[in-house]
Amino acid sequence: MKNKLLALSFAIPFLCLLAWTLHLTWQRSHGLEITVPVTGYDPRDLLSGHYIQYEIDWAQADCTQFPGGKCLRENFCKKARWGRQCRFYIPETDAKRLDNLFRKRNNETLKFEVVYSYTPGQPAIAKQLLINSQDWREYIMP
Amino acid sequence: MSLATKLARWKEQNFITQAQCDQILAFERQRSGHTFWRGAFIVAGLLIGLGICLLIAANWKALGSTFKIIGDFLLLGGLFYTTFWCITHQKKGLTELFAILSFLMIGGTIGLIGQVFNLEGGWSSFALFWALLAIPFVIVSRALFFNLGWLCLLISSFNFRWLENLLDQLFRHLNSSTLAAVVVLYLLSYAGKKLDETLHPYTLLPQAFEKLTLWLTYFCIWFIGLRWGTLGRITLYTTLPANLIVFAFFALRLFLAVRTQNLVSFRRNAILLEIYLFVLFASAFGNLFMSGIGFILGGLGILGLIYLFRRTSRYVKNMEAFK
Repeated sequence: MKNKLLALSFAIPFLCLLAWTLHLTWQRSHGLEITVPVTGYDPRDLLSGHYIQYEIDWAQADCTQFPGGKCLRENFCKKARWGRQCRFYIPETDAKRLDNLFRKRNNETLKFEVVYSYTPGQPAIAKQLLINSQDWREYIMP
Repeated sequence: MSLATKLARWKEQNFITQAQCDQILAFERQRSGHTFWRGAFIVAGLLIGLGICLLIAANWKALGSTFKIIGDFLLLGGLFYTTFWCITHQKKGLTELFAILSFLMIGGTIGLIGQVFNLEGGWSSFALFWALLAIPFVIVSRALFFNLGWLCLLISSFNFRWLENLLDQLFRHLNSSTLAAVVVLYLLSYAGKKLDETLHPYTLLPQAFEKLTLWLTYFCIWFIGLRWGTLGRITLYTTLPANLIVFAFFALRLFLAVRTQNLVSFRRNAILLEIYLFVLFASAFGNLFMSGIGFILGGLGILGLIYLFRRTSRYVKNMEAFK
C-alpha cells in the first residue's frame, strides 16, 4: 500500500508534464497559421539568454488571416509593463548572429516575421521565425 | 579536541571501559561515514542535475525538438523510477542523489517545454509549477538544505511587487506593525518546530520552515537594531523602543535556551548579543572609524570581542543552569 502511494505520488508530476506537452503539441499542430511582422521591443533587452524578445507590429499585420477579419491581440504574447512581451527561443550558438541581424534589420531592409499557431480562446504558440519570408535557419546558413 | 583523545581521557578517569570506548568509536566512524557519503551523493546530484539543465538551456540545433522532448521524458521517467527503486530498497545515499536529480530535471523539463513551444510565462509561474510538481521528491529527501532550497523556490514564485509594498509598510517606520511582523515570524517558527516534532520521521519540511522563519526573525531583529537602535543618531521615539525589542528578543531566546537546556543555542545568542552591543557602542563614535585611529580602535575592538567570546563560551559551559 505504502509503495503504491509512493509510486502514485511520483507518477502524478510525470503525467502532468506529459499531458501539458501533449496539449501544447495538439494546439500547435491544429491551430490556424497566422504570420505577423515583428519589431524590436527594447534594444537593450533584445537578446536575453537564448531567446529573442520582440513585440508584434500590429499596424503592419494582415488581420484578414484571423476568423472574422479582426486582429485578436489579447491571445498573443504576455502582458508586460509596456505593451506585450513575446519570446522566440534560439540555439546558443546562433544567438549573437541573429541578434546582429535583428538590430540591423532597418538598414538592411530585413523583414522579420513570426508564424503562430492560433486556436480561438487559447494563447497563440510561436512556431517559426522568418527572415524575408525564409526560415531563419536557412537564412543565416553560410 | 578529537573524539579519540576525549575517549582516552575518559578511559583514564575510569568513566568508560575499553569495550565502551571501542563501541563509541565504531558507532561514530559509521555515522560520520554515512554523513560523508550522503553529502557526496548530494553534491554529485546537484552537479549532474545542473549540467543537464545547462545542456537544455544551450538549445542545440543539431537535435530536433521532438527528439529533445522524447529524450527528456525518457530521462525523467527513468529518474523517477530509480528514485522509487532506491526508496523501496532503502538505499539512503542514492535516494538523495536521485531525488535531487529528479527535482532539477522537473525544472529542466518545464524549461524545455517552454523553449520548444516558445512560451512567454515569467519566473513566478515557472517556479510555482516547478515547486508544486517537485513536492513528492522533497518529502522523501532527508537533506535539510534541499528542503530549504525548495521553500526558497516556492517563496520566489510570490508576487514581488506585492511583497515589496508589504515590506515597505512594515519596515519604513518603527511602529506596532514592525513588532507584529517579528512576532508573527517567531510564532511561525514555533509552529514549524511543533509540527516538526510530529512529522520529523516523515519529512524535514517543517524543520526547514522553522529554520527559515527563525533566520528571518533574527534578520528582522538585527535590521530593527541597526536601523533605529544605534547610538549614532538618537531619536526619542525610535532608539529606545528599537533597543527594547532587540534586548527583549535576546532575553527570550536565552531564557528558552536555559529552559530547554540547549547549551549551543545559549552560547550562540550570548555571542550575538555581544556583537550587537559592540556595534551599538561603535556606532556612537560616528565618523571616527573612517580615520587611522578609528581603524586601530576597530582592530583592537575586534580583538577584545574575540577575547570576550572565548570567555563567554567558557563561562556558559560552566554555568550552573547547564549542570
